[in-house]
Amino acid sequence: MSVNKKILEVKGLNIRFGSAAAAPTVEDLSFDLRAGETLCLVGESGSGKSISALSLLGLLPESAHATADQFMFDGVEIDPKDTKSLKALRGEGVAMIFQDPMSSLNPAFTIGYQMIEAIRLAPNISKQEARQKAIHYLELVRIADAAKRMDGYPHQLSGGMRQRVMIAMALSRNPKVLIADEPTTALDVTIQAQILALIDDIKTELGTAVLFITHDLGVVAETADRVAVMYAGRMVEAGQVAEVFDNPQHAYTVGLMRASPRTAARQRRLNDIPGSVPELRDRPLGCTFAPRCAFMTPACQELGAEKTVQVGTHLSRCIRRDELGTLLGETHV
Amino acid sequence: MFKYISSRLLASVPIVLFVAIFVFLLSHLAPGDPAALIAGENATPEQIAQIRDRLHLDEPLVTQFGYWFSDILRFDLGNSIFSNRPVTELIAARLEPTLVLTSLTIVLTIFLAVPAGVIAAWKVNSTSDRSIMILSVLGFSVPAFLIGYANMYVFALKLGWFPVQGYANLSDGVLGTLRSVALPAFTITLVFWALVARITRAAMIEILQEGYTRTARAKGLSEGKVLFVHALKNAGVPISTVIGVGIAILISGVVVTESVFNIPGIGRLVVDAITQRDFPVVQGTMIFFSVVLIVVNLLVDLSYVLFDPRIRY
Repeated sequence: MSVNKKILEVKGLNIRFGSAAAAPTVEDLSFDLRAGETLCLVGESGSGKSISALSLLGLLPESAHATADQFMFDGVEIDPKDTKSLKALRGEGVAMIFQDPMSSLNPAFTIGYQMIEAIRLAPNISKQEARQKAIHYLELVRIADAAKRMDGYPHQLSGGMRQRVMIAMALSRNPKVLIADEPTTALDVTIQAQILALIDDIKTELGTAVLFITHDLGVVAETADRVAVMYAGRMVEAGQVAEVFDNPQHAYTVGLMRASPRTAARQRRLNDIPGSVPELRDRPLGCTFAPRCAFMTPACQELGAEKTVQVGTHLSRCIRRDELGTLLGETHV
Repeated sequence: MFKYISSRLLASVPIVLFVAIFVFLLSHLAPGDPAALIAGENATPEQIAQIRDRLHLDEPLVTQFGYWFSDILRFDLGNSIFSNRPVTELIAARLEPTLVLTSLTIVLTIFLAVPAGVIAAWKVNSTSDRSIMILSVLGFSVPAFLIGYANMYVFALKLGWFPVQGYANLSDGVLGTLRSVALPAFTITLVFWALVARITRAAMIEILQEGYTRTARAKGLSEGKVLFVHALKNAGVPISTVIGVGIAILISGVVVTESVFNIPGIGRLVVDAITQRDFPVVQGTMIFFSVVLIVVNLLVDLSYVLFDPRIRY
């Protein structure tokens, strides 16, 4: 995987709402993305996954501001505050598919109109060429009768079909990065598996880098090469999927895994993580997860406990990461 | 579609009937004997009785109404008491100025109010949003005749851009006609646009939060296309609805401004007929306006098909 070219490199991304002095909603987020690779961002609702993704496209709400120590796209440095340069990335640089396929397509325009319009944003493409291309991509995402579907409206399609159209529309621009924001959450399980397989195929075939946002660890296991776990605006753990799943080095990741119906299949009942995600203004000093953590020590709540420690490709923001394995063995949950 | 239109038209007959009952009773509740009015001051009692007989004024109210309404259904609105000409003919003769005035008003309103509403929604709670909303409240709360005289004073008397009063026929040149109705149309627009701008803003605020707006932006469309193509088409249904509902306001605006600007349209016809107690004309124009309202509302409902493919008739 490491032979592939780095497409996206983000270091120290902060996103604040309101004033520049406000507490950051997303704090010190760093990740990179390579061609043909899937990185999964995992976390609860409100952990900052979607907002981080939207910031890559300059689609943050007006009250939000993004800053970063480094933001490189395909070898070019971009200022994340510079919405204009980010807008230039939309479509051909970064394409995005969204959680709710029922509302992501415009009900007032035909599928064909919406696809051709996207394709023709690239220079020098005739309507006829664009139409052919649109049909080609609809076939690529396995939509039957693609030519006929072009003249149909979104309301004539099921949720799964609409998500396929969204994927086809995103891919029709040959984006270097595809952001998929919980693309299967609103779909049936069987359709979900098809969509996941489709994204995986496309990644392999076209060499697109995929940033996959989900809260479902089962989905991570199926799709990701690497995973980054987010909690309350911070990335608490990141690494290769096998590394993180086999040897989690943050108590929050462990909690997530135990709360997941698939990875916790052998347990009699699911474990929840006690407490709830802290409000932005109530974030504790040190490790954000400390108040909910079973292995908290006084040192966890001191400034500096939130620092990232990297061992090989495996990152964690836990100061007890080396003891965690032993601690987990003792609790027998 | 055809079936829908015909069933809607059939359903409007009871509505017209209801309006007719109201209009009929209204003029019969008013004091004065129409027969004496028609006969004039020097008429003999015999002449008056003759007229009463001709107009069925001595028969029961229900019978009178029956005569009158069956005439209406045959598109006969009776004759004017004063000119003795058929009311339908009077309306037809006055139709052109009113039609030109209202069409220009609707066009002006759409071109002013829709972009204003879109921009207000786009920059919601900003200074431009607030200014647009304050302007629209002003247009709605200041009486039309006041706006009319103010416009006349500034643009006709002081600046001399437009004629002060009167109407130039289309047959004498379109440009002259447009110049003559420009100020009155602008006056009604100031009243009418407030409604349309507000509805546009409200609809657009909601639409701009929708997933498909985000999709349109994410795929790299220009903000103009996002607003005026993707979002605006979805606002088409509420906007055309409010334009249809606003036709009633438009008609009352037309009546007032035609008097202010001395335009010989249907509005003036109504005002003159009321002051002269020319009952058949008052009744006839009221029936005419109600039919216009019914037809406009039907057209508005049909226009939904243009904006929302999920609607089928």
